[in-house]
Amino acid sequence: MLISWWHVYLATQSIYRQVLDMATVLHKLIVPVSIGPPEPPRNKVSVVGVGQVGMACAVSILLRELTDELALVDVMEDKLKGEMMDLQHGSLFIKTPKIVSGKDYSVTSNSRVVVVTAGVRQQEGETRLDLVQRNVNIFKHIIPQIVRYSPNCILIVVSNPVDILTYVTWKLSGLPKHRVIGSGTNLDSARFRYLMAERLGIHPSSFNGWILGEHGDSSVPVWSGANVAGVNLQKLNPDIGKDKDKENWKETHKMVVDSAYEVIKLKGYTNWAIGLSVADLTESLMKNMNRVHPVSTMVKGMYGVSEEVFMSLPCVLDSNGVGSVVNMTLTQDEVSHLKTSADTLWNIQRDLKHL
Amino acid sequence: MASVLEKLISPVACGAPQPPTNKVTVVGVGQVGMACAVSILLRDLCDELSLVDVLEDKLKGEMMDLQHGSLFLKTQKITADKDYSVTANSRIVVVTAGVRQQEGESRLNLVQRNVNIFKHIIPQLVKHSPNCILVVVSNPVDILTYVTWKLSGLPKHRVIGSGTNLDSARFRYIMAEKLGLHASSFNGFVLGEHGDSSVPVWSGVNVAGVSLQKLNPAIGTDKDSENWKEAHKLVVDSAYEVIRLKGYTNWAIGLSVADLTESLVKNLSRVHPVSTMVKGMYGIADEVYLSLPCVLNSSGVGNVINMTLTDQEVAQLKNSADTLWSIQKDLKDL
Repeated sequence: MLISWWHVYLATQSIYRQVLDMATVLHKLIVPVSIGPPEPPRNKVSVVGVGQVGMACAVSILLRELTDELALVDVMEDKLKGEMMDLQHGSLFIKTPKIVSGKDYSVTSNSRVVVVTAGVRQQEGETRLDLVQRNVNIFKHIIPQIVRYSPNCILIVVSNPVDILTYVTWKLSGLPKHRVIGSGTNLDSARFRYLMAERLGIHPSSFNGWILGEHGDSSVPVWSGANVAGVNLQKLNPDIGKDKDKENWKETHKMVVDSAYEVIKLKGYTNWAIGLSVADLTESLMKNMNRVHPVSTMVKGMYGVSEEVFMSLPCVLDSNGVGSVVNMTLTQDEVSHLKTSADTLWNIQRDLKHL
Repeated sequence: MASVLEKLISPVACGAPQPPTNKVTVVGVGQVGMACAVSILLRDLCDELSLVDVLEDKLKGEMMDLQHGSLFLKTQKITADKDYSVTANSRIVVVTAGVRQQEGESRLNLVQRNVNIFKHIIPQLVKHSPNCILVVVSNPVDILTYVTWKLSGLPKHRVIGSGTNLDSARFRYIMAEKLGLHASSFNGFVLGEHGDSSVPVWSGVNVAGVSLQKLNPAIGTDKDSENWKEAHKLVVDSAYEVIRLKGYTNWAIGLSVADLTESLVKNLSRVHPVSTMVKGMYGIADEVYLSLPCVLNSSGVGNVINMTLTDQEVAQLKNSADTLWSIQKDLKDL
């Protein structure tokens, strides 16, 4: 009895102090005007996986000022919290006022774009196709939760093997195909344009060239389309891309295929280039730009492909996702190349369990 | 047969290519160095970036990974080498080389380890870029900025330590969060030594010119019932906490270095709390580097703002100066 009266006394003291005492600095300094709950985010991006690739995507997106809220998700809680804090400490220098993170997917709710980088990474010498079942099992846990909290989002899949995992994501998500995109050959094309432009002494953005199909070893460089200022390189050198080409331009495409392996060998992983390329895609989606990017999309019915596989084609990206696909004029060789990739991918996909 | 290059492209300008006008070099391609490099690239601050390190494979891998992103950047030339000739003609050199703080290790414990590394690095940088501005990031930053100044032979206005630029950014973020504002709308400076004994200047803290100390005269003291002092403590602890959680810090420091680089490269004359030579100010008689509000322009530290500090704050600065000097005076081979 005495104890509870003591508590009442303390409570009264505290209220008295608060009422009579100075209002807090916050209350003295800032007078609220708008009432009601705060506005939901308009341009929220979530990044799943805070490894090197995920963080490179996050930082590129932040520095390009594409989002008003960024959410990070991972299973490693300390690492996740540390990365979130480190970004928050840079708040003064960026225009994204809210950065959140959590193991629980509720932090991702209301995202417009979700970038999936989760999964295990390619080991030195391991091909992308060897990673498959390991990453499928992780995605079975991730994808349904993402869609539950952001049913209207666009999913960008980065984890490798990207074309297969984009198919897996599409199946697990139940989303229409235009809202599930694989980063695909966006990076291969960027590397190709960089390497080709270097040989010509110009900026990569002034060199037009596309790499399509499967991201990785059997990607298809469309030599017939390679041009600078509309000048078609194949017209200048009809042997371009072939073995008998004295200038050996084909080597450049080989370097693109090898470059991921080489960077992994040198520094253990790649992250900056993929991060920048994902920010580039995110910009087109967020700003409804209708820019054309080579990304992985569902290609059944095109170029004689009869299975449900995802491969990279030039896609027009807008705020719905893949608005349309540009019809490439491809040579017979290039078409059969695509068809072979499709068959390879389907061979693996049809044996995947629990989709 | 003419090559595709010759058929496609006709040269117009003749003579040697122009040297870079805004070259930035980053020494050290660890987590901090790469965060600085990427922040600088994404802010479009330089026309050439060079990277230097002793780990040749890692260095080449990082350079290639950045080059592969060229399509998305406005920095045409990215180079890297173990040899410092690659850094020639830099306007700004960011030094992140050295060993990093271990969990629980105070910054002052790193000193002699990093001095020995700097004796190799700094003279080579100055040899290849005699007109550059050096931005020192490696810890303990105030001592290493002094070391860099001594080893470089450069005038003091061209050697800057990242200092409390990051502490102030963290302070502004934490304080602004408590008020529901963006960090850039909260004005506050943390000065002095970067780290455990940094000095939050409570008398200057304001939002839209409204002094918080006028609203709450106890702010920053132990008797403050709102315990605002906690915010500064969080700033001091935050580096240790992020290191504990993810092993290192890099993003915030990278962004803050890009912010300094922007003022230097664009001759902005913005005021930043960075580490500069403070002998002769606030009763300090030794050659030490501490953070004060510096006006940064294309010559480096153009001026220093005279802060109105309380006696207690001046005493704290003097204490830090004494602590730093007692370590510096024992350093060998400067």
